[in-house]
Amino acid sequence: MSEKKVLLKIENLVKYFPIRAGVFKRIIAWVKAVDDVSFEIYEGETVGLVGESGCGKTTIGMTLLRLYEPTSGRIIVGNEDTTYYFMPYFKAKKYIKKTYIKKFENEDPEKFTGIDKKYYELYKQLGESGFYSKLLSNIKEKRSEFRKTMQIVFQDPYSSLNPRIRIKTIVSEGPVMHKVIKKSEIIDKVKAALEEVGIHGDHMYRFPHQFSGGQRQRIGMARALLMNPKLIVADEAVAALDVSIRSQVINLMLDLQKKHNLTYLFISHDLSVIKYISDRVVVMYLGKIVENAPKKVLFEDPLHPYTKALMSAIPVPNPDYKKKRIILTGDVPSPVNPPSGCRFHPRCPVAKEICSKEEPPLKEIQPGHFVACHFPGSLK
Amino acid sequence: MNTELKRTLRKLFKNPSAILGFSLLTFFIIVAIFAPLISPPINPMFPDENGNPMKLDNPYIMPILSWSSDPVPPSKDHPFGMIAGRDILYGVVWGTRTAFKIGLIVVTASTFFGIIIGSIAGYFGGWVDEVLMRITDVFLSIPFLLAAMVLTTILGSGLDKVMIAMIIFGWMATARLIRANILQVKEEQFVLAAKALGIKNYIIILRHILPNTIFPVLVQATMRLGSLVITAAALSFLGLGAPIGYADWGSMLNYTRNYILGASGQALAYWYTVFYPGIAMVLFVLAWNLVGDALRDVFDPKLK
Ligand SMILES: Nc1ncnc2c1ncn2[C@@H]1O[C@H](COP(=O)(O)OP(=O)(O)O)[C@@H](O)[C@H]1O
Ligand code: SF4
Ligand SMILES: [Mg+2]
Repeated sequence: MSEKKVLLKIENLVKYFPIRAGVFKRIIAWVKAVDDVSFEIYEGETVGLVGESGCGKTTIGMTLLRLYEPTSGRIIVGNEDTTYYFMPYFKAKKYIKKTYIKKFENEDPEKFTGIDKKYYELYKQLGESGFYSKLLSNIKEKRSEFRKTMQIVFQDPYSSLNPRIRIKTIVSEGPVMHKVIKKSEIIDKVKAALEEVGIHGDHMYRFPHQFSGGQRQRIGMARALLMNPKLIVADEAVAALDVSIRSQVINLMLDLQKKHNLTYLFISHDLSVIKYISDRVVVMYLGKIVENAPKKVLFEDPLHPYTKALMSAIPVPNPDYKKKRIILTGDVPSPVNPPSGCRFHPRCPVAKEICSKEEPPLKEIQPGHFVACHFPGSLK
Repeated sequence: MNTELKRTLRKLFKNPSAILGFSLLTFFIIVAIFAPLISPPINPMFPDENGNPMKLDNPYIMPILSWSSDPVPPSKDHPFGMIAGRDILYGVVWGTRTAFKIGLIVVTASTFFGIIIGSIAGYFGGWVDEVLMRITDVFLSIPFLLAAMVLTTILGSGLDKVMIAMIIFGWMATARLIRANILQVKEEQFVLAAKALGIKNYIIILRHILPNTIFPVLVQATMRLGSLVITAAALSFLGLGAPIGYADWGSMLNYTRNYILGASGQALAYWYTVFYPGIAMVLFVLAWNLVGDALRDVFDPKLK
């Protein structure tokens, strides 16, 4: 793993939910659940996404999997822009026009990088209409490819499996639909997938209620795994489990990662779990990324006051070691009317005047260590 | 599937109340089917030109067999006794058909409307939901008996009119139930997981949403089937339902109004006039309730 390849790149992702009221259900405000978030996930790594409840972690996961349509931003998987894959035809066309055609006509091609550069070559080669049809053709295959690339494991073991169908169908319906496995192979493949996650293969004829919470999460893993995905989003996948079972499931996830070269986006509000599993950690606060760093760096030298405060709340195994606890006062403010400037300023112990006026950009302070704070490292 | 079915059946027949329910229901079905054999629709009082008893034009109108309208106690020819010159057994037997007719038609139609209204509200949400649910509330706020009386005053009395009233005022519970279930199931993580797997919409609806919403509605409909017969009987008792002499349990009880208290000094003298139609009704309601209960157990995946 000398050269790391970017698997997923999220650019300026925004997701607002409308709040409606009145007889006509007019939109009266927006919940700014995810507000201009950018980060990358490299092949084979585990990115931990952490933050207090309500700060937009689940929304990011759901938007990545296109269970929510993004309000704006780009989601690039491998070398393809997948943002428009699930839009209706005319919306997709509009998106391509806005994102690429306008840019290609008006901006200096020398400055294009990454996907823009790649698509510009295509555009030059095929012309405008050829470029549209190239991107918009075979949309069904593109969607299918997308589904095979990215899968999700949910939090609630009791709601994540349909109680009325057998494990065999639960685990195989996706892969069969996308022709990842043939109908004739269902039994063998389901059996293998179940045994890989530590469930007896013969139990494929059972119904979900015949399993415990931990076993159900394993079945959820098997369901994702049989699609042969590259990326698995695990949204609080162990949060509902007992502590003893929790570590078993986490270890299973780590084993599977090695075996299948999986990439994880591991979402949790629990820093101790994040610390155990992640290679890199993204810290979110109120719809924004406040810090993004390799795990070691982040836990040894957290630079954002919010990260620091979260860490001081982790229980320390050694009672002799006295850690100063930074108490986070108050609740997370509402994402409908987030605080001006730095969104953390009403709760930040080291806030200064500028903090409520200017929003701190996410800056790369050291290579690979991003922080969004006017005074990084000032909270000791 | 086959083993599954077998297991379900085996479980069903271990449950005494389910057995009782299904036996009673089977019994009523047999009586309804073989009504013409059990109580032939003929009137021996009026021979036709060949001297045979006259065939009835409408078997649901109980033939008048005697000119005395006082109750006649059970005898060999009339094992349930007679009232108003009519054979009580005949009324109970043909009344079974009436009960099925009322129950099945009203429940099917009102459940159908309820499912449509509730699903539209649940799926589309927003203002569509708002409007439909306010209409439902309005219907729910009107007392049923009052509404039925007003409606039969407008439409005229009769069994069909009563059934129309019961359909118009019978869909709301179903609509609310299916709406609530759809709203809940739509948010379930297994529906999201299916979407993330790229499962087609119609399969998501058929495999993941409907099976988790429709069964409680079916159970509810089954339970309602029996109790509707009581409602219809109440309306008949009030003189709004079936016409005089119609083979309907409720209308038969209507005859007994004058005899319910018995003769002077013998409180229970005319017990058979109430007992047979009454017990038929009670057992009919019981049968559907037990069957509904059994179905609930079968459909509930957690109890498998
Ligand atoms: N479907 C939705 N409609 C409206 N608001 C939502 C929806 N989903 C989440 N939110 C809001 O968005 C914010 C972020 O929620 P979420 O992503 O679930 O946070 P987390 O997973 O970090 O706890 C919360 O304020 C939540 O109330
Ligand atoms: S920008 Fe200011 S308010 Fe925000 S975290 Fe940094 S110091 Fe605190
Ligand atoms: Mg969440």
